[in-house]
Amino acid sequence: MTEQGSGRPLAKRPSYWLATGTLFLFLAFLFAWWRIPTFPPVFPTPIEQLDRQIHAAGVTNLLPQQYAVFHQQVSDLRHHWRLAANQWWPSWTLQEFTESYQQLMTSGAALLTATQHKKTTLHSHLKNLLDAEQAQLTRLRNLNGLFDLRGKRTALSRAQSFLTQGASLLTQARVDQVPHLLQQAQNTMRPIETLLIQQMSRYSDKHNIAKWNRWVTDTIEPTRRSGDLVMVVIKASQEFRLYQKGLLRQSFSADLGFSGLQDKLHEGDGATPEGIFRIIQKKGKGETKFYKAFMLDFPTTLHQRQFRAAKAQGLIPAHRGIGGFIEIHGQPSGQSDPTNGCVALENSIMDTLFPLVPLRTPVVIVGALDPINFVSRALSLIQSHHAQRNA
Amino acid sequence: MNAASKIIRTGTLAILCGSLVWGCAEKPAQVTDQALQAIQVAKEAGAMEYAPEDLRLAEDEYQKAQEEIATQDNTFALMRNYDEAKTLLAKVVLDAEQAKTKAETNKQQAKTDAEAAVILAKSTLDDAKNLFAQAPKGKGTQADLQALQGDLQAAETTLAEIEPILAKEDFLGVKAKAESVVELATRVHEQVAHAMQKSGKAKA
Repeated sequence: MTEQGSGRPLAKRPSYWLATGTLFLFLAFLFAWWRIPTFPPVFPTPIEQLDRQIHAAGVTNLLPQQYAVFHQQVSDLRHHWRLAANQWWPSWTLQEFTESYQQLMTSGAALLTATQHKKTTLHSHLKNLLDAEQAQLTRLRNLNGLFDLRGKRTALSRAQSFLTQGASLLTQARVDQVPHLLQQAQNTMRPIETLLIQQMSRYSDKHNIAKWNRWVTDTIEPTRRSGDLVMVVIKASQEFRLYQKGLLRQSFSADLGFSGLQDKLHEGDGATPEGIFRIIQKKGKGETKFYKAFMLDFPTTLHQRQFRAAKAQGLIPAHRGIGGFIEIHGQPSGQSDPTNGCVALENSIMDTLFPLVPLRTPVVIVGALDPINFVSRALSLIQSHHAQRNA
Repeated sequence: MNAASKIIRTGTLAILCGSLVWGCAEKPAQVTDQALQAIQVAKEAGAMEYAPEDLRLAEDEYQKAQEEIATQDNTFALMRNYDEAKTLLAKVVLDAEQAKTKAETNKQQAKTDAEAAVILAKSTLDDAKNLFAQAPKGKGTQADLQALQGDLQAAETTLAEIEPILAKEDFLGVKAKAESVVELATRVHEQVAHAMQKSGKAKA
């Protein structure tokens, strides 16, 4: 192929190649212009905002692995966008980018929901645990003044302090420290629970309940014909009953020792002794500082024998005696105070009883007559929580 | 080849070399250091705890700047442009400074709150101890008094635990402990006041 007048083939002329090259470059620029603007000039910010929102929701503590994957995916997408946006011939189409972006937005939204759900669940779980421990602590504290918690009261207060701290930190969304405080509270309460379960179990023991029922029946039965009075004190319900001719005549509430529901071991333990006693002395006004009183024959021979056995087993400190001066005595109306081991009734009740009750009247003091009683119910709740926690 | 042609060739070569030197943009090393230092300063000011979202923003911007630098590093030398990276790094410095300022403000507020809570705890405990000393003692009050004594001892122990965690600047922890001291001391105060009222020993 030649051009007229020059005699050289067209393909060998520089102007031909210059024109072809210019055309090619023009087309390449045109193509690039057509391709490049298809990518957003700035990486879309919503995905980054979502990433920060997920982070702020506490994902690094709650779902760290899932978040690491998501965060890396955001970083990768941005990297791909950057590469594609800078390429003359992008390896990605806008559609591919948009699809990946949308998928990531969807998975990010799901991760945010999962994080918030886990946060709520964890918060609620910890709150339930704190509430359950608080309920257990309240149960234990309520037994103060009924069982011997001397030396344990500071520990109970410490447990309260741990639980209060836990609740405070939970309110301030500092959930990471709450499990440790819960554990400290549990560790503080656990030995006290074990001790109380041991002390309280007498009240749900069928043999004990049968024995206490037998004491009452055996004492009341002979009085059916004689018409004599019998006094019965039920420690679990803090109840004083007056029987005559085998029938219940009257019932009053009574106060017991400061560890009244325990079985009496020695002097000063605050326990109200259990057993069948008799009134050996009546103290009228001016003869006692407790208005009027009936002195019981504690310790009986049986109690003395039990005391010696317990001392021999080392259950009682060497310097401790068996105690005595156990009375049914008066106290001012409306004043409900624990005694040192005696049974306290309102003065007006003492006024009623005093002329009716002769010396030698039997007094039966028992733990409970019904296997379902205040102590056995409390024991069941304490035991159940104790076992549940240990499981 | 004549002299004019030589001059044109040399000139073209010089222009090409000049373009190359001018075209090879420098990595923003200094701004990177400044950005990193600003983040570090924000962290030292407690931004991780007291301004986590602001710190996160700065760290994200820093990561984006590093990604941009890496992209430009892999670009043909003549086409490299670190302007966007520099803009991002400048933003990192600003965001990190904002995180630092916010962290300092929030931390100071937390410290003030914690110190106020400790003062309240100490005064409430002192009041409770003073009132407890006047509590009616006698038959039937031993168990109650021992329980209240237990509360006071536990409050004392908790109060003693505050100093070390205050030194560690765990102000939320301090506040939680102080609140538990107030709760225990308040209970003692209320129960003793009730007992005094009951026994007719209430203060006029």
